Amino acid sequence: MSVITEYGLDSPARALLILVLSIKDREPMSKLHFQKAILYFERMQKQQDIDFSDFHYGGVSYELQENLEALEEYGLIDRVGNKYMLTEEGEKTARELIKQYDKETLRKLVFAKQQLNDLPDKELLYLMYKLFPDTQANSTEYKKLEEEKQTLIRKLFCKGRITAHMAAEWLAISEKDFLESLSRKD
Amino acid sequence: MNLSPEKTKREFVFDTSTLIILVEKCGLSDAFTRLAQERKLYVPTRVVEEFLVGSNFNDHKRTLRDCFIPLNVTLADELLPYFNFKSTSGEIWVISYALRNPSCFCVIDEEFGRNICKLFSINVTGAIGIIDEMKRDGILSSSDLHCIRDKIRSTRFYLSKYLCDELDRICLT
Repeated sequence: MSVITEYGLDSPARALLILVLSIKDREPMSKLHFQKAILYFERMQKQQDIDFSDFHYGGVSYELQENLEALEEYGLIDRVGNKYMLTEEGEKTARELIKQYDKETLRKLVFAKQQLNDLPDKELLYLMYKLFPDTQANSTEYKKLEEEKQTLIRKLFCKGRITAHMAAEWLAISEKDFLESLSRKD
Repeated sequence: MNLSPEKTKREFVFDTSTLIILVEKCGLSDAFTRLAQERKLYVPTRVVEEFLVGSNFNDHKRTLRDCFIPLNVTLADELLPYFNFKSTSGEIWVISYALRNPSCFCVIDEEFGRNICKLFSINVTGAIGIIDEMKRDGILSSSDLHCIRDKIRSTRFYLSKYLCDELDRICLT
């Protein structure tokens, strides 16, 4: 029996959890970060393999949470503090799993993790709310974050997570005005 | 294999903010006239539109017309997911061209666009890289470089710390 069937990795939720933890030098991820990275990836792929609902923190998935717990029980994923990482067996499994994905799909997943994984929670949530406005619906956080939008948008731009065009659009000013408004300390 | 002189020369496709820095903030119109004799300098029509909206000076418009080759770029659909399925920013057009023309260098300063270039293994440089190219071609003298450094340092236009450090390296060595 292959590791794919042995661990039920034909389930998209399980497969994506293993893959997202295996890419970008196997950087560990918090629960919030992998939830959002997988949601970002799904939106990039224009697919809905995983069930997400819009709660207080925007799009989150119980399906991912349940499968994360299952993969922890199988010994493929380990938790250190509040972050999750692959075990040795998890890495071995990821190497098998990755063969089933094409370069373009994996590139999108790398991008999603790269975009989000080192962002503080506020910047992460704000970026997701702005990129995918439907996830603002039941949010308890969005309005609070909007009050800090000047700072958050500047930080997201300077970290290379959004274009000047997006930043200007979100601030309702011209792109040139936005770039001229940034000081050296930004 | 011997490459003809033309083939050894780099080609560049420019994004809007790099044009604003080089043409408008640094006043490098004359330097571009000389660079364009040795290099192919491209600019997507979307970037031309963006640049002209913000530019009030006829000199800048003339530089764009005389030194740069306008491109009607075909959008690379595979880039759309990375730009949230929008084609409104100049970078997506710049990168679309370079994706189909791998010998061409994107000239982009913004981190987001540079990250996408790296992800797709596309050549990328920025405004400072172009200044370096002009320096190596003997188009800019040491005093020109000091003057450019002062202009860039005093402008409020955004350049990341990395690019500011690169500017110092090029101008002071």
